Amino acid sequence: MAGKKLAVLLVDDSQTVLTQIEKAVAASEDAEVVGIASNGAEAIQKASELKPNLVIMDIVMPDIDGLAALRILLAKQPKMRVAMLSSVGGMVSKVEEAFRLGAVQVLAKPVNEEILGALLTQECERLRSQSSN
Amino acid sequence: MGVKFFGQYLIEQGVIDSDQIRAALKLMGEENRNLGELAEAGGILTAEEAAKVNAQQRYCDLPFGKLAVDMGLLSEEQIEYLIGFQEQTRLRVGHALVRLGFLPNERLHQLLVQYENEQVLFRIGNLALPDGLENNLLASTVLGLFPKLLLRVARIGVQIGKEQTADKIPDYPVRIAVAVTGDMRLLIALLGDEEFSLQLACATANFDGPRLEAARQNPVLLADGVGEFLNVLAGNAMGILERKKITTELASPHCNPELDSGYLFDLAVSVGKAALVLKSL
Repeated sequence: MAGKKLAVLLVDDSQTVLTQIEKAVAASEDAEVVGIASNGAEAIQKASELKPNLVIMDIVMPDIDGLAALRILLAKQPKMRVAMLSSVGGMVSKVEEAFRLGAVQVLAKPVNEEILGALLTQECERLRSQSSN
Repeated sequence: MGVKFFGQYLIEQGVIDSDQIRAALKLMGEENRNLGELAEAGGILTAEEAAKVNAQQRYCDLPFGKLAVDMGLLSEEQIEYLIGFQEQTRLRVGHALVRLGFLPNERLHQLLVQYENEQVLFRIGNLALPDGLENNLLASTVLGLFPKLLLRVARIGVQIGKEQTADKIPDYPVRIAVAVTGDMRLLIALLGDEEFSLQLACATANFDGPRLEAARQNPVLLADGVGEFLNVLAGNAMGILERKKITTELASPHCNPELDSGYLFDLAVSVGKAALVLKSL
């Protein structure tokens, strides 16, 4: 698909997860990774500098966890699109809180790359339709 | 794959979007009453008493029911009745979506059947545990889930041997643990040789080709990948416990944990060598 690519910021304290998602984003024609952060504080700083179209962020992280970072990110930039990654996806309370705070998706770990690909395509289509309006 | 919230499953299936799930959660929040509100409505707790329990909850991380019993305001039987009533009358996400017109009722039933068929894998019975872990439902849930997830995620078959005290920990190069805290506390440690750890780490992160080679050369990456599997194992077990109203929190994985006084479970695995250690915290 030609046109503007979705700029993605990845946030996870696991190098293997970052590598997996980076690979999956690279395989997509719709998106590119513009930054990587390994904790919530770094995510807030990089999101402010890089203005990504989509942040993909883990829930369980040391210090500022993903849900606290999501709350801060959306307070600063309410239109930012944030998808959460979760190994605690079976915990309804965490998933519900993520959606209530404004997450666009909560992806269960291990990450299913087809579901991730569909999310990237959907977010890219949204971005392009906004650009053309 | 994994234990999932039904709403999350519906989004993954492309049936609804995040705005619709938020609307459903809002409706559920408006209609579903917490234990304090139900006790007050049933006349077994005054508004002042409910407020006292709520105030106490700010200082200690305990469920409303447990606190109300500890404070002598309600009996165990009353809490059990209230929880049962709450479960029976609770508006669930699927029905909230139907009420809001986002999902036809017939389609909801089809999707619930599909969802239940997927989730049946994660229903766990109680397993026999050593004395030191006998009341730890998290430990039995982890032991029940472990073989299923290991097979599903990494195609590694496993049989769990009888537990021993952890005074002779095998000297495997990868040793990583996650700590679960809250209503139930447990350290879950996985130890593996290079062959086992490589297969598990690479399958968890879907690594192949050059990335698999990079993991082989990098012990830190290998431990990180095994740690991710532990996160998934612990997270799924915590989701099962949450359905029983047991609240827990997960910390990030850490290498080379202190395993004295834990219980060592020898594992007969189809790839390499490995052991599991569970330790009360």
